Amino acid sequence: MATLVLDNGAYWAKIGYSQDKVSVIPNCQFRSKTSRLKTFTANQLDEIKDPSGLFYILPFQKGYLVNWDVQRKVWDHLFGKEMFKVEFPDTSIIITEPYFNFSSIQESMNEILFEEYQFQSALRINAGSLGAHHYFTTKPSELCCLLVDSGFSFTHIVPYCRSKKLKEGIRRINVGGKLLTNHLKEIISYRQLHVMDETYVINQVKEDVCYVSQQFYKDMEIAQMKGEENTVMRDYVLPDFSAIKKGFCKPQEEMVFSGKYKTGEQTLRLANERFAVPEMLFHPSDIGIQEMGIPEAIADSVQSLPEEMHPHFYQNIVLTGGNSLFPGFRERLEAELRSLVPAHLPVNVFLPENPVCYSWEGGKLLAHSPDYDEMVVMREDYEENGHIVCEEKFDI
Amino acid sequence: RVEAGQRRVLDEATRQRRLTRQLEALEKDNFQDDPLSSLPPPGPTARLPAFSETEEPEKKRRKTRGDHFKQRFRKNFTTLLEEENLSERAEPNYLSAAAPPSSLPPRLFCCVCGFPSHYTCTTCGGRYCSSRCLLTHRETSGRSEDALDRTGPQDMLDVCCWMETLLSGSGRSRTWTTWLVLMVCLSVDPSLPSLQNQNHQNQNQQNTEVPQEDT
Repeated sequence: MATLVLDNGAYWAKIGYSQDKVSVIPNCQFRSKTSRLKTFTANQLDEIKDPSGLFYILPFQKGYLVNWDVQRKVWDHLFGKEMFKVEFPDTSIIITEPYFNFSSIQESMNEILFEEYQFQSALRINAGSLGAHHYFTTKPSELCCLLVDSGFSFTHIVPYCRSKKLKEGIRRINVGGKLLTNHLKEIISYRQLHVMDETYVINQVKEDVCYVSQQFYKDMEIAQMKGEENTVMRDYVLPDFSAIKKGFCKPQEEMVFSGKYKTGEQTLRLANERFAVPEMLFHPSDIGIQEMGIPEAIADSVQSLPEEMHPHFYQNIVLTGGNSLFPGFRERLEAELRSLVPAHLPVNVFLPENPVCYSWEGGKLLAHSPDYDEMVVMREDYEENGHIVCEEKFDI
Repeated sequence: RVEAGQRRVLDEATRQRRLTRQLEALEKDNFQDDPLSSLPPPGPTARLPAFSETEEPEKKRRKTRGDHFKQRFRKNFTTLLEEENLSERAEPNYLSAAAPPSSLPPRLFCCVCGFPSHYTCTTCGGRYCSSRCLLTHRETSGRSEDALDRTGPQDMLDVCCWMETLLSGSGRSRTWTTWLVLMVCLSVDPSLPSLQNQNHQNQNQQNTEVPQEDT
């Protein structure tokens, strides 16, 4: 009997059998201007020769699964012959859901897993719980950890104690990768070049060029300088999909500060956008969102819990999710927390090697653990008793 | 219409509405239209593929329940949120988990160049850092936001006339005006009678024939 672990994210689906490696695949459908009739699903993205003006069809809205049509099409592709060739009657599935998932979505998920796909058994769990399981397995001496999951739709801060999440400490900041990319598109469109349609390209720009600054106002001053002294500014070469397939950041030696480039490629000049965009994770009030940033929310979350647990949480902060891949994220978070947290409490922020797949790896460990069989709901159980079984067993 | 000497001041409600609109725009998945929706509809000879029962007889066909399925699995986020509000679950729940507002004062940046700003535009409250940025701000964001603020289509002719005068301008203002034209076009409802001749002929028919997907 095989176990399939699926970390069903709003942007990436991390999927793989528990004895294999993980595959990171886009969890959406695409349509392109050049081949209008065809809808590309998930990793068929690689077949598109011209990803300019790519149209995204995402099953998730604000982080919750609302569009089942699209999700089923993606899952059909993933579970089908071309990808994982799932044998449903013999497979058990671990699938992740966002925190405080709405009950109608949970029920729809049960129906689809058991009645449509007919998996042998299923476990629905929060992605962070898998991450926490991974952490506690690698550090058995720790009792508590604080998981920061900063993904595409939002950022969650979740305290875990002995592998159980403490609901009163969960905080949600509605700033995620999607917001950062859209904001970057807006400011580039206003200042330089109209790129509002180019989500795919600008997402690549964001991942290549943006970083989290350690001294925000100092970097702002440097970015205002002219010529060679402006070490923050970079030129990014945009792809034209014929000669240049993928955009890249021009290395500093080749930068020309006055006049145009001889090669005639289209470039974007990015100075303060490089660090002002990820800054929104730390200060959402920069663009008018009335919420606290990640460091303040961590402090707020831990404050709401019993005082004797505070040191344990501050010492075990784990970063997961795509946004933690920004260079300098971990150091900046630690520095900001150090100034918010009482001086006698040590602060330790842990960034795993692969934050995007950290939860998936946790799922893999969970699938091999001895308690696994007690945590799942079997299909026969569901067919006899209905949604009640799932509601009681799964802690979403 | 706003002249240079009589610049009006927007009230707090309008400013708040503009901010909400900008924040909602940041949540969008796509800013362009679905490429499929601009295709001509399939002709009378093209037959849509029928649900084939002879395709894979050995595999158990899943139970598609027709209407129940559509009703159940096509709610959008706002509907789900309302249901959640109505169910009044005990705290902690989705709503109580939202992070509270920050206790630090907001940092203010110039809306044109992004550097720290010290001054505010008297009309709309937008921040700027220098007089050059103020000039750019006045040229660009004033008009398109005004057009978006006014509800209803009676101002479309006004906007078209204004666009014509701007496009006849010279040099530098062209890039800004091109951007503005795009912004205004994106905000225009294609079913308005005054613009039907200019937009794709088939656009309206598209919207009724192609099944709407929740994107």
